[in-house]
Amino acid sequence: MINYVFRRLLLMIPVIFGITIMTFLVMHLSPGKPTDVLTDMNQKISVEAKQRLVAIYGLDKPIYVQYWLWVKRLVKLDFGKSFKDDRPVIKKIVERFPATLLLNFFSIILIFIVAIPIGVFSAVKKGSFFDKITTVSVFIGFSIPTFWLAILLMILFGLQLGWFPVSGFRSINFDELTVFGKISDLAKHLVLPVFISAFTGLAGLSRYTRSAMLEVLHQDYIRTARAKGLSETSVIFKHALRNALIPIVTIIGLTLPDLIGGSFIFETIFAWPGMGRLGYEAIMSRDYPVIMCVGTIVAVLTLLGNLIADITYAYVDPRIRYRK
Amino acid sequence: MRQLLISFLIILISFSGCKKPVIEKSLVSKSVFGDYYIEASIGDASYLNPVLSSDSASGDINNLVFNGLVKYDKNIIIVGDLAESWNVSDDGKVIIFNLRKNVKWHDGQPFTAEDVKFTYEKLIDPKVKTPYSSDFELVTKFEIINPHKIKITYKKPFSPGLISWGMGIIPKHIFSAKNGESVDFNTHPANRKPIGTGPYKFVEWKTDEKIVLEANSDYFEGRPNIAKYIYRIIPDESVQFLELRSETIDSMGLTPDQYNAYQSFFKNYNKFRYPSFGYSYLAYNLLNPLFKEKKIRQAIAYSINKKEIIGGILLGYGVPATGPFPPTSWAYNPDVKDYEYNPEKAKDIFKSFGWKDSDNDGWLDKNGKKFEFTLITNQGNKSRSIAAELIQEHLKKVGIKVNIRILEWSTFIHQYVDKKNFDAIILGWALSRDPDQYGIWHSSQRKEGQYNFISYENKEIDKLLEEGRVIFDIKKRQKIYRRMHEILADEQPYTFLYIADALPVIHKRFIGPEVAPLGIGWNFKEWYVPKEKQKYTIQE
Repeated sequence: MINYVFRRLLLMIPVIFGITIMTFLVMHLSPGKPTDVLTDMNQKISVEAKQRLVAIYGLDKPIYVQYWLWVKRLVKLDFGKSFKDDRPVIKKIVERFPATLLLNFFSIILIFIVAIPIGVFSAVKKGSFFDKITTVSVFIGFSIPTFWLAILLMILFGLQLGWFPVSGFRSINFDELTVFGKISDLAKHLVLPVFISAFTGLAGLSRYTRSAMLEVLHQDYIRTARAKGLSETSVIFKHALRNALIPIVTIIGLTLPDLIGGSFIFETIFAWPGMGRLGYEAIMSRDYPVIMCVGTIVAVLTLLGNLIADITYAYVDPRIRYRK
Repeated sequence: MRQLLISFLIILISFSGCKKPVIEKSLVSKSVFGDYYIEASIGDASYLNPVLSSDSASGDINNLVFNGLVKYDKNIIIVGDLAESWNVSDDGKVIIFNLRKNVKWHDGQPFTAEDVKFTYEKLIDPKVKTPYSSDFELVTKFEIINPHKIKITYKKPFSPGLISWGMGIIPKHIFSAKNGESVDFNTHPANRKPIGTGPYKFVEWKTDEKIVLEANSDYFEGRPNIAKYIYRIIPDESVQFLELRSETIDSMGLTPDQYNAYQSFFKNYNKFRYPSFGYSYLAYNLLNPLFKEKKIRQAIAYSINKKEIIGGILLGYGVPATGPFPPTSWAYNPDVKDYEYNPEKAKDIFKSFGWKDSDNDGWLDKNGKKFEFTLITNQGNKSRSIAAELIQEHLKKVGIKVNIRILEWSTFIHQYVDKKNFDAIILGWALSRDPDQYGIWHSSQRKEGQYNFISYENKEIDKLLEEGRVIFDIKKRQKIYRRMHEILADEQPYTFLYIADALPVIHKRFIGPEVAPLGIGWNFKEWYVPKEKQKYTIQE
């Protein structure tokens, strides 16, 4: 097992380099330079001043040189400085990380709590009214434009009823609140984004649970359990669900990049100071160091998530074992 | 599309009990201290250092934290700020500034000429990431005469140079090296915790969330009345509007449909309207033989119905542009008449140049060639693409075939505009308050990457632009730019389309906002909220 994990980790290195080379190339080949934001159509800036800025950022060097310099820094775990404000990229990421983690952690928990029972009951009552209605609703959630739903709920709960704040991460007077006040303030700000993120993300997991459950319910051991005269509840929750959950456990590993990578849409709509927005804004302003760092982190997490999923799968399913 | 859809939805949901908007006139009574003013911005600031920043979010904050040597008053006339007075030598090459003596930095240190010199040195330092170096290229010598007097010598007289000293002055003692350590100006911590001389002091900056400032009680012009200024970062405009409606932000610049739609909710807000400092235009590539003749360009101007464009795009909140200056600029020439929509007159002009529909296919032709061109503009600006479609429609009526291409911004600028690889484009200029437009119209500015991308050349305009840069007297400059306005309106190198209105709303509890040629926030320091209307309590 340790051998297997070690081999997989080693294999990740060339894959990561491949991904970073691709990201670097795509980034540099797409039209526009980071300095354009400052200089485009600004008649006060002379051609010489533009060239000076390009040179300061090192953008006058050939692409392979720029990539090599980036790799040299990366080896020392230095992700460079943001072109936008000259701050260390890693510092910017660390700053935004808690907001994204908080939002995605709660939304993933909510998705698991809601999606698994929906999936189980839809499978057990396959073809019933409940199955049909949940199928339709999870697909509505899946296909509904997030920003549209978000605005609707903001108008209803933020504006008309005044229950929750329209947007933001915390209130203006957050620092003056007591500990309890701070927790309740954060919770209030979390409700709408978590609900929307969970509602639009339910479909995948509930469908997955449903099909896993359906497959298990057709197995011989379930028939045996029923033949033994066990109660239906016991058959479903003790025998079937346990086995149906095996593949679902692995999904937790795959949610890792989401937890940290954030979502641009939720974070923009809810003025949430997270990683998704950082990445998106970096792309829009061609902030190369930030794009590379976010890209690399998400790539590493995706690969690690896959590895964790594989390991947990082997752990929970005795039929899978890794040979030396 | 997304914005349109959201706006439409919001209109549907909240359309109830519409009344005519009532604009309460600001009352002038005794001002009191207190309350917060909360504003929203689409993007976060970059550097809270005026030498380095160029984005509007940083600019908004820097304007409250820092002062320049000079500034514009409400009528866009240059007045002293950190400089009490100044003299320009007769040959226009030397400016002497007399600095205020009672000014203190926010950390209590006195402000002196050394700070100005330090700021200047950073502006011309090739290692500093400043986009403003061009403004100071003509300075040959900077001398400190005494701690409150400086002498600046220019290579040649340069009148727009005076307002370039409106650049926020930064404190030398904060940025200079202590105990021999080397200091990187670009990454200095003070770029996020600014120390200035301005009416507001920096309190905190929570990245992508908010920036908080507080009134500077030692400000040399007296403490401002609003105790705290909070700048919230809300990246989506429709969400900003919801925040405005729930009264969690106090002001916002609206779009015409927002400005029109919600009469009932405006009971808590004062609406303002004034022309913005910029214009949209249709520019011709003058190297293209189609647009060589002035009369042809004038005929196109007669064929375009600007009123319809303003009605369609701005819902009427704008005025037709007659030339390169907005009506609020002192350079604007009110005598210049616009080209009235007159397709018949246009057709006659085209005919006189041999353009007629000889094969009856509906399009003008000459020597077997159709009058056809491609109009390009950038993606992501709905107004420009609608303007392109309307112009296409208007020109179709006189027999000109227009093809439209919408291009991604960088591709548009660098592959088409810079390389003069276009027939005609739609774009806009956001103007500086100084009317010098040397970069746009002077014949020396036609190289790749420069802004006379239409290849315009006119000896008189060249002469006027050169004169306008060396004369400091505003009356004389006004004469020069008014003449320039007249020539450009006649020559039509661009068809100047429209000047959109700025449409800000401000919460009614604030007393003092007043529209002036400079805009709305020029007297923010004097705004106040009567004690009984204050929303946030301040513990003094």
